[in-house]
Amino acid sequence: MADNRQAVQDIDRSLYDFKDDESGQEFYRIEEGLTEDIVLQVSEEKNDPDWMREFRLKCLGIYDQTEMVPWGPAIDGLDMGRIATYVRHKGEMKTDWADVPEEIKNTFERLGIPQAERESLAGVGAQYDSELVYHNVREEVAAQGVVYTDLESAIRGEYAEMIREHFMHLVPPTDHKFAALHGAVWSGGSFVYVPKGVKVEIPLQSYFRLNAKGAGQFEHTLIIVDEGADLHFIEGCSAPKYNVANLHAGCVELYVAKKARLRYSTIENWSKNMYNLNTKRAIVEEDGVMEWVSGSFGSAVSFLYPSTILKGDRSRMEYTGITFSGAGQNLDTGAKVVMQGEDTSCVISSKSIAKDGGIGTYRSSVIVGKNARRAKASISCDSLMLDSRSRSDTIPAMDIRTNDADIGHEARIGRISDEAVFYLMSRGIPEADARAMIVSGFADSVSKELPLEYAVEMNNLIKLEMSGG
Amino acid sequence: MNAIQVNTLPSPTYRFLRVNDSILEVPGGIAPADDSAWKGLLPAGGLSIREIREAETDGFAKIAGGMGDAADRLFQEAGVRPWVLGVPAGSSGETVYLPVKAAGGRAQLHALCVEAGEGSDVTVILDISGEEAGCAAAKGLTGISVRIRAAQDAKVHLIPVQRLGSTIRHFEDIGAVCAERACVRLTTLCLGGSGGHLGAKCTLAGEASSFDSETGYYVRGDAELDINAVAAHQGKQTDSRMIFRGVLADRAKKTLRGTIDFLTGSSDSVGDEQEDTLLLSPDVENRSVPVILCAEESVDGRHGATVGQLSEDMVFYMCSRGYSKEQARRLIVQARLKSVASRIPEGRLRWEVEQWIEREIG
Repeated sequence: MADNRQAVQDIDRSLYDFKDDESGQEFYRIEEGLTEDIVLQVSEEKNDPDWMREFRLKCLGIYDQTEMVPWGPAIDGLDMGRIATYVRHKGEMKTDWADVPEEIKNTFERLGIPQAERESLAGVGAQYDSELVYHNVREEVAAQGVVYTDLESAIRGEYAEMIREHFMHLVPPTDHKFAALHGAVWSGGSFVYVPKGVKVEIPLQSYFRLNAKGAGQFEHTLIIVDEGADLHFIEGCSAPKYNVANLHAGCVELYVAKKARLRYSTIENWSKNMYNLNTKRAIVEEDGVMEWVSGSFGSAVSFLYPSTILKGDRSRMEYTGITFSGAGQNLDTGAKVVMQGEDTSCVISSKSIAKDGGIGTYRSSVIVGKNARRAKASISCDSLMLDSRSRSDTIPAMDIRTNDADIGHEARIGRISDEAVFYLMSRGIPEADARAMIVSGFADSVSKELPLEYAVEMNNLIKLEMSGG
Repeated sequence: MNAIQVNTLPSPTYRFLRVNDSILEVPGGIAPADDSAWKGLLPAGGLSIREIREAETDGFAKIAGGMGDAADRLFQEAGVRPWVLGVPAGSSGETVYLPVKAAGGRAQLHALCVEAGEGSDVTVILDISGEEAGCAAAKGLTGISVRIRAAQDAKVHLIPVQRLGSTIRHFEDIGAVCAERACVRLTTLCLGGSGGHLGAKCTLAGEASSFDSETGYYVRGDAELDINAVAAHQGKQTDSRMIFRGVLADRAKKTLRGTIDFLTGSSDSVGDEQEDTLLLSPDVENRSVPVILCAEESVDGRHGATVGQLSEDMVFYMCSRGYSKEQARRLIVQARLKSVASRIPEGRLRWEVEQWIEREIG
């Protein structure tokens, strides 16, 4: 049995934890640290317009003046002086998979990205370290007017004004220290625009791979779903494990117009030396719908709270998330919502599993503004503790400023029910399998919200983690 | 005026919410109150009350209160010497009634320590009011600190009932520690005053000890009420239950921090926290932070909250039973606080509180 468990773990490592040598001439790596010179070098590498260069420098100033938040996991192991904020392959971004450099192509082939595009995606973006190496969208989707491109091209192309109008307006650099850092050194990421009334039937996907040791990834995703449009966007992330800290401080800004719908799904499986300090925010206009589906499995430390501003009347938000904290991990995740419009509603459903000394924290805020009459919110968070070496905390907050609201909240922390294990064992299922089945069942409400192949991946991750225990 | 930081959330969260702590403004010249009248109010049964002895000070000082260290320092620096209520081992079912008089225009501090002996059973009522209640001229601040040490199998029921006038601010800082199978019950009614702070922390140190707390509050006008309640589970098979039922009217503001903390070693413990807040005006502000901290696998912690208006279904049901809409609404609102008041032992105070609820609410 022990041998079997080890074999399963080995498969897990090989799936994500393979490294490619970047010491060769074909890679450019900026010096480690964060200074004005480095920010200007990144800007030059990116061929920024003037306004963006000025914006980066302003963000650096804000970063220097902003304190780290006094709550959440410690990030003492993260030394910005030892992080290279920009690493790229010297080749240019390709739109044909065959043209992608071989060593990078192998990485994504092993992760199954081109195969996924062929089978079930409307478009794919693949980022390797600081730059996109591949971006493509199906012809029939492009023909509908859907724009799916790298952000750098968009900044200099016909969407320049649109980008300038929206870039870091939803997540201003003053939001927190790592939003300012992102503004200073951002690189890569995608721009998506879905025109009025267009429903993209199959999802778009961006996949982020941070291969370089001691580096940061700061991609920026900007999505605008125009009136009555519909989009499902999938984000995947992974990295090999190193013995030094890596940093991910991405930023996602989502604009959901009237009667539009956006589903944003993420399966995050960063390596366990990663500091994942990501910021995601959406603003939703009248009758718009924002749906978040989030699975957090990787990273050493995570601060991740997708937030939604329900600005328009009758706008809605749903958040379905699961966090699995194992050995050496401190994952602080949850959701935030600000309800401003009348008749707005939100449903937050969060699951958390902690084992092998992992720390999982559910943290949320629900703010119901004075004008959010007839707002309805339902929040539930369930946490499962699999052993007494682990820790699981639940820190939700509600701020209600109108009496015409209906807010319900419930949370529970507990262990796997002995009765349930006993019942399954009485049906002939070994104890370890029974426990794994119960955990999978616990995560079921999340996995059923994911596309099939991602649900399978998530369930496999849970099984592997459980078997490894 | 000094500002001290109190009611700190055991595990801080987003700063923009402004719920990580609260500021208590303390006027200069704050002084100990004269509670010597308490000596003549003890029932028969071997109970004693006296000023604290030097040798006892450290022991009670180690019992953490809900408002935090800054509140402890406030009492120390003001030179407050607590009264110690001694409840002998085995004494059964005694009720101690202690009036806490607010003095108009003054800032006064009261302090009580309860030493409950093995297997004892005592109910302590703190009737917090003043002759000036309801008098607009009676601006002031009254603060009370209570520390409870419940020995093995002891049962202590503390009932602070606050019915101050609308211009008196008030705070209560309660700390308790329970030995094996000890039980602390806390019934808090915060009905009057111009707002204030409530802090309560019960450390369930002994195996199978329990904390059973119900808080009822009615906040109106421009008053602000800030609550911090903590059930710290240390021992095995400990049990905590914290219920908060409240009504906010006019432009009132309320912040509730409720924490169930399962510390390492608290296996097979259960913690439950429920909040039910009724909002009567569009101008009220209600903040809630129900926290569960868990470092132990084999526990069951849960919390639930409902915040909003009166249920129209319930009003309709009452109307179908012959009540007018207005009567139905009044009865439902009053029932929230009366359910907490029903934990006060039958007698004059309970009657007065029920009368107060009927007169002042609705």
